Amino acid sequence: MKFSDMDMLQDYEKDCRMAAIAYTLVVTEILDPDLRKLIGTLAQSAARSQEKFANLILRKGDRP
Amino acid sequence: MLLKLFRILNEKKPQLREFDPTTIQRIREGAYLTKLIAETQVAARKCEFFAGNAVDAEVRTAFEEEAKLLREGARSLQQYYEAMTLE
Repeated sequence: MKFSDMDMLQDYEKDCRMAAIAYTLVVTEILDPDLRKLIGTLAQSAARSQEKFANLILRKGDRP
Repeated sequence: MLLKLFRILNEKKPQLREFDPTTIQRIREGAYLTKLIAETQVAARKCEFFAGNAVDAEVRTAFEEEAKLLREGARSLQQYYEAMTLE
């Protein structure tokens, strides 16, 4: 099975969206301050990636 | 009579060790951490596969950069987990 570039972009954009939600949810379950900070940073970075890929999809002529 | 019987039966059962809430919380944090490490590594592998599959150069570099970011993220989580299990 061969994926087109747009298939992969759409799929990964969705993954980033889910990752940002999951990391944010996990942060609420953590009490250790260092781990909280670490996972919070990862949540932010997942949200940044989602933004980046969403913009890339728009630039390639589709909608995320 | 019946009460005595139950007591004898219960004595034969293995006794569970009880943890204090702080330890239970720590164990749960560890479980979340292992899950996150695994998921992040899978995502990194997916990005590497996508980068190899991409036709457009821009898409390929985007996925390559993403794979690198995810590997770094997994490494920092792994380091925290190792520090946590050492203590």
